[in-house]
Amino acid sequence: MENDNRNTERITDLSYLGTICDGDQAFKREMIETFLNNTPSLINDMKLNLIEAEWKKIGDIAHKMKPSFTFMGIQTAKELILRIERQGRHLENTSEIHQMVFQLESICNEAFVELKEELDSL
Amino acid sequence: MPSDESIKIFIVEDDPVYLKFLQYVIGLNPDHDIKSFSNGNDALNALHERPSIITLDYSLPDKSGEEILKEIKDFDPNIPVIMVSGQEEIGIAVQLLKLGAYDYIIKDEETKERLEYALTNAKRNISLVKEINTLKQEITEKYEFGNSIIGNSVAIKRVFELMKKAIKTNITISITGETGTGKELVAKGIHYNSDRKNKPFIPVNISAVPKELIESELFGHEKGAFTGAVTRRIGKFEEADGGTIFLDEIAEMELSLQAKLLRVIQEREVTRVGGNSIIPIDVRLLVATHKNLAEEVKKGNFREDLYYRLLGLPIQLPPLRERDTDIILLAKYFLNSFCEENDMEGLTLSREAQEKLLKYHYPGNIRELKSIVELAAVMCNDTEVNADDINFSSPKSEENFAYQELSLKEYNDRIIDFFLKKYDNNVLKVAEVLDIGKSTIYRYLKDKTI
Repeated sequence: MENDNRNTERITDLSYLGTICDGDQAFKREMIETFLNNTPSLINDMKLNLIEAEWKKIGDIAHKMKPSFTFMGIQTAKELILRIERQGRHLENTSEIHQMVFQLESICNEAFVELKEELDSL
Repeated sequence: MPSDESIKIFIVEDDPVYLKFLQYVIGLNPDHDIKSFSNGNDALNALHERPSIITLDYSLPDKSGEEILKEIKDFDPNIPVIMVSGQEEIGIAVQLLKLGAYDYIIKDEETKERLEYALTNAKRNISLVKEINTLKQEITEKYEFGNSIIGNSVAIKRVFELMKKAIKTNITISITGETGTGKELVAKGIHYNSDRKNKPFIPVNISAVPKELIESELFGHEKGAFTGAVTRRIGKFEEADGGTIFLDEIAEMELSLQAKLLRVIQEREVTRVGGNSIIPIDVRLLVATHKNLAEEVKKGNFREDLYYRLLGLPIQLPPLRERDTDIILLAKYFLNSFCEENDMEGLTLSREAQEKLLKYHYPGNIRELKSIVELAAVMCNDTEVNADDINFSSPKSEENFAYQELSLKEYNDRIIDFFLKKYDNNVLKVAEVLDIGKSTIYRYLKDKTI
């Protein structure tokens, strides 16, 4: 019961990655490590582009991030990333993008903690 | 370490997480020799390594997937490029497929299965292309003059000389010769040694197609053009585009169709039956007949203007009886081929068998020789084919009779012998049929006994 509660509160869901790995823990570890190494710099790039109001570049980075979030099962970020991608690339409601990027960073920070825990358990 | 069976696959992907995923999925098959690139230019610079398959991300830092795809296709249009993209717009997918992408896979939760499926199909296609190329090579080798047309007689060497001239140009070739002299073989030899060898060779035997269908067979038809035309069908001329069409037994073509053929040859375009569109064609024309076309023109059976159009470079194939010892070369070739095809021990031809073969007239030419040799191989009870194993059974045997070039006495003896057998040694009956005296027959029998 306690375990179920913990699952519903988690941001990441590695069941899809687990299906792909099919028991290959080394590959699972590699995927998580690569995500942890790669994503912070992408978030940082987004933030730097916010300063320059380079909305299209922000949209492109969001597009690039999208598939790796699928592997980590970060569902709460999925809609957010899609909005950043669309609004950035089409220059729609750009005033909202600033807030969305920081919201994404916050979700990612929570996800990183969970993923590091996952790595420790592997 | 890639094995001999390995398939080189380039992965072009700049997202490190997705690159790991693609490497893992593609690497599950140990036969895949993977090389990864994080930008388009590096991948393009490595194309000389001849990858068998490329997976290509649409959004790369240096160039768009579309640009890279075009450059890959310019380098080698046969490399299957599987686009793997986060772009879900149908328009982009359609555009890339039009440009020659092998497949378009969206990065989602079904990517693994789709990628595996696409790779399996691409590999099957590669294997089929290899098989086709091998077969093309085999066909080319098969129809090299020396391999396909056997002989070193003066008569056949003259044909080789003309064939060599024929392959250098696109001139129409008219091949004439008796039935069974190898007209289609010569036509194939010209096609498969010409610049058109990698394009289709389409043979059409005019006399074998019903008269009411020949026009649609040659030029195609549109749906509903006539009863039974339930779908559009392209004709043999369109099928042969870029290659060669071989119209055998051209003399059998009806005059009304000859006019249409003349127009096609002059205009280099066809119109399907029941259609209005004019379709340009690039086809080399080879024609053949066992008849004398000039005679057919005189008789009014063949259009004179078409005759001159078709004449081009005429190649007259000699009948087998004029090819001297080619008969033995061909007989040995057919004998070996037959033994190989039927898993038989190799057979040789005895001296007597060779002499017997050389004396015959062959009204059915090479085709007849082949069947005679094959029958001899079946009848033979030894490792050597003897004269007794060789049987001539041409329906034109009366023509053969004179070609055996025997003395008058020998002919007389043969005739008497034939009728004695026929009438069960009834001398009276044979004398009556041949209108000769009984004594002539008795004398023959006496000489034979001696």
